Amino acid sequence: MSKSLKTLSDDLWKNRVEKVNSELFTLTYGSLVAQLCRDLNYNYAEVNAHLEKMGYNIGLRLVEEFFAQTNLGRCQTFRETAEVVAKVGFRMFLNVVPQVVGVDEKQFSLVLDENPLAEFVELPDDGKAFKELWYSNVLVGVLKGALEMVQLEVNAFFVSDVLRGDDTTELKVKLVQVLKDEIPVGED
Amino acid sequence: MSTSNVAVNEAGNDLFRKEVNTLCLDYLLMETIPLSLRVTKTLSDSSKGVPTQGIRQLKIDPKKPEEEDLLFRSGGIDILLDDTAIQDENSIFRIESYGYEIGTKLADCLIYMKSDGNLQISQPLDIMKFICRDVWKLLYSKQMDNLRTNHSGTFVLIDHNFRLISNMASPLGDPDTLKRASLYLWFPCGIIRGILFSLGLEASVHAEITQFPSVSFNIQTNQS
Repeated sequence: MSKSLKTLSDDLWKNRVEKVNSELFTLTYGSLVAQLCRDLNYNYAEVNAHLEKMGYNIGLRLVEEFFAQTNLGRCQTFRETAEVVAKVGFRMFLNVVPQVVGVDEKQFSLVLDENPLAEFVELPDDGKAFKELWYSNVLVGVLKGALEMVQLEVNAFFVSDVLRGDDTTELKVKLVQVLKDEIPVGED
Repeated sequence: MSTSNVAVNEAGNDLFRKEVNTLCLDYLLMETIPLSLRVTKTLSDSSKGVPTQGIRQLKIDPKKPEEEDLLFRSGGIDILLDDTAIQDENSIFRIESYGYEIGTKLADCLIYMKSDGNLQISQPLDIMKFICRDVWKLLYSKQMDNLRTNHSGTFVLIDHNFRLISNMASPLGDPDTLKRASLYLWFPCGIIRGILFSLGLEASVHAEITQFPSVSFNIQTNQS
């Protein structure tokens, strides 16, 4: 399974994906976060919330591209979901493959050895940012949004970030519930 | 953009070698507009004493999703349906300033990236060409279609199929699409102004939709 996922995503990345320099992407995201911090008067809880919301909207749409390109069937287990998110999802959009750790049927963690969003980034030394700001919080939203589109309501959050001086950047995803297919009102 | 036409700088580091999916940048740029509307709303709410999202999350009994205000409902485009928000000068100003901020930084990065010896940018016209070719190619995967100038400080840049808005359609028909799409135009205006500023040219930039999705950017520089 994991072998074929790798071949699939290698092929996707090589042949099917339009690419752009990651530095320019990093820079754009960085100046957005910086501006957001200034606008919201360094209220980092608020910044995190806005980043997550933005990510959620992005996630809703990224999943469309994922379907259009991969043709993968429904995941049978949450374990499998974790693999696909890391090996195909992250690979085809950010060209990194996070490690999947601590996986069981209800949760998994993604450890990002490389994080294209946070390259060359230093958090401001105001005594607060290191404790409160999750710089890459947009990813939390992306995961929530994207997984919601495949009927998985999840709770996602960062537990550590190298930018804060931690050893790893770890993003935890917990399954809340599997959503039922709902038929829109008036279309039975 | 393929790696082949990217100048690898002499220091031999791996700058400009890594890549991400274009869609990431696309959606990021596109989401900037709803983001800035939400920020404007948050700021005006907090000045009126309405509890902000950060505080609301701390409450033991959070509101049910359907009771939540337009601001944070899933999908998030609802805020674009709020007429007062999209006509608010604060939002327009904020969208423009996000673009401006990104523009100033992009200019540095792009010029460093292209600095293979034969990039000459000194005259205003060169700068405009730089925007039409390199900047637009990067941000919107195509070049500007037309560049006009009166040779005394006014430039008009035309994009016949502007990517940021070309897929938009409102269920309420074309006039409504135009109204909402024009809000998005402040963002590239800001980017252009930021790039011009970081290359030493102060200007005011306006955009209008001539025939959807064709957009013309009018740049008025203060040099003649």
